[in-house]
Amino acid sequence: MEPIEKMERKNHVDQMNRVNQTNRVNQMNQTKQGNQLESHIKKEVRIHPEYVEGLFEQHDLTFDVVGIGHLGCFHKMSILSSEHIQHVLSRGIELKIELPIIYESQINNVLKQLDDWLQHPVSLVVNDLGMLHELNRLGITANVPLYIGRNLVKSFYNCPWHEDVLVEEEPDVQQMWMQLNLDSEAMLHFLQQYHVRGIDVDLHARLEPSISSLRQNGLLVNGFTDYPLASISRSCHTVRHAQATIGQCQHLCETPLSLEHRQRWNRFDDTFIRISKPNREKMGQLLVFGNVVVQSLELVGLMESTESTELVESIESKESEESMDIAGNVPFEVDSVCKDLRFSNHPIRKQLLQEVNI
Amino acid sequence: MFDEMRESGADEIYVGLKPPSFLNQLSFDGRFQTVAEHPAHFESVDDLSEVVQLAKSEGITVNFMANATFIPKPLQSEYVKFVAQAVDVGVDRLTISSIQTLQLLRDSGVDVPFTSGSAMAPTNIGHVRLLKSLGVSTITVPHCIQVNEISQWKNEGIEMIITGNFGSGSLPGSCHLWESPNNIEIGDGTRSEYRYVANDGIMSQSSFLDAATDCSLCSLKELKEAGVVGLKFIGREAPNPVTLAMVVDLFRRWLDMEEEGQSVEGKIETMEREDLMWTMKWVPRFCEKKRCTYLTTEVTSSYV
Repeated sequence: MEPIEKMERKNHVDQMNRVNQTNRVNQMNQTKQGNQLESHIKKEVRIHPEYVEGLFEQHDLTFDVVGIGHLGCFHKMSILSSEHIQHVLSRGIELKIELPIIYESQINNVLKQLDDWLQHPVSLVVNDLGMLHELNRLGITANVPLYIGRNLVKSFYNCPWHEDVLVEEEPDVQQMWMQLNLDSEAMLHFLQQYHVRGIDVDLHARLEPSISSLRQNGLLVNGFTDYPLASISRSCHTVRHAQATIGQCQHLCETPLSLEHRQRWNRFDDTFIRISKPNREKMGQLLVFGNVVVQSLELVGLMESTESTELVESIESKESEESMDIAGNVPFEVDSVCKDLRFSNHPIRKQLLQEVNI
Repeated sequence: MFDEMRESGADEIYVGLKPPSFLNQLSFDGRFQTVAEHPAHFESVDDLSEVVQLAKSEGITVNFMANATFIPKPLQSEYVKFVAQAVDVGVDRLTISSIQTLQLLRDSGVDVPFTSGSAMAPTNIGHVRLLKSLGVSTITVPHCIQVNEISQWKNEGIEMIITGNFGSGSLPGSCHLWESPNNIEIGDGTRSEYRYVANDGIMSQSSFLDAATDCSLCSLKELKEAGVVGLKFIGREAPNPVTLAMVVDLFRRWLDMEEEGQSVEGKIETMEREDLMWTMKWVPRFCEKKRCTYLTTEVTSSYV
């Protein structure tokens, strides 16, 4: 990686760590001031159904919200049951169910399962506009808290080499294009019509104007600080390579594969050219979990460090030393920060996998 | 390229226009300004107008690509003005790929039929109904939607087209592994070769994310029965328009043979006998590599 790209990546890591610290400090300050629950910056974990039991045995982990589901594969949710749901709700923890992209052949089954799930006081995260429309048609969006998932909330940041894609543009154009796709009047109006309460976002420092704008317009922002989403396909890459059978495959995608770019394909003549080392480093590595591909960014997330007294004291002591602002003393706040334990290499995830003997 | 498309029997052409000069590679449609260093747009409104008039004289529909997946707020009025130029020279249809741009254009009073582009990627009937409710009259069905699923949408009162050639290895609109217009080594990430360590601990190298399907020839009859009314071919940036024209011509011949009642096997026999491009290029690249979009293959069997 060229020094400038290394510096930019390090800057991004530093900035995201400051986002986390900002939100931690704000949370502590609000707790100190005895603010109401609504101003508390929530902590969320996203998991597969089979992680539910092990999750509550992670004593170093604190969270306000649990999300269960998937971005791209309904088969991974097929075991989600009332028992899983009750296991979470009985602990006074808010529960979101994340629906993946739903294909035509699945939609009737999904709606039937939803009937069962919605017997409980859960929220929904939706990743395709078709399900959003159907839920609205069925009157569900008016009664169930609804969020938009990362398949529908995008920015150029989701392209791992977005810096290269934008490099020829003027700085003001680059900044304009580094905004969220939902940040417009038309989309806000659309989301309001469908009673959308909030959105999931892969956070990047340059998205601050968009995020701030959306929050000012009443949308809650749930920020993911690492492993940004890069691609979802209908074909499961893991099944294809394992030559397995869809539906009998749910364990296969628990172990990610790390991909390093080597050759670029030329569409016009179906040939390959070698990618040089500097470009390989620029493109970074990808992690594949079934049909979901994420960028492998190793950031210190909110929950990797323990929520210990020492950490709190450390932050308090550093507060006066460090600027918590990003790029010009602009604080970057979100409403909640989410650790996605499904598509990551976090140590906690590995412990959870051991719990379920995967 | 227009001449080649006309001679190959195209009923409709897709065109793009170079965006305002403050954009260097970005554009207001679904292509960067160059793709593998080849331009993807008409240079000027005058050039566009000339082709539009030619197309009209030949009874060929012109579909203008305005399919950016989003437009930054400060540029929304520029986008509307940009598209208005194309409408003013007489394009017949507009392709859009976001609710934002659709709404902007409708609010501006554009009164031209809308096609939803690949990136809208409807995957279920709810999405089809949503697009119809928003005023879209034609949808582009993503590659990964199978024939039996497409047939469920047949009676929704919306036209359906498919992309007859190159597909992506991912769901359009849900993939950000884009080809960079600025770096010849950064291509479509779904088709790249990757090195990885498999679960058996052995290092391997392959096109791990390649789930692309590139050919729909053997399924044209079933697609028509399912309600598909048109085939779109990507490649307006293709450096050799003759090659793209040959693809259009191939599909046209296949449809003609279908009208004559030939079976798929019969069509293949005819192609093997009469068409060198079929034997030398198409079969090795698509048939032998099982790039079939709508038949049972390793790829389609791995669909969730």
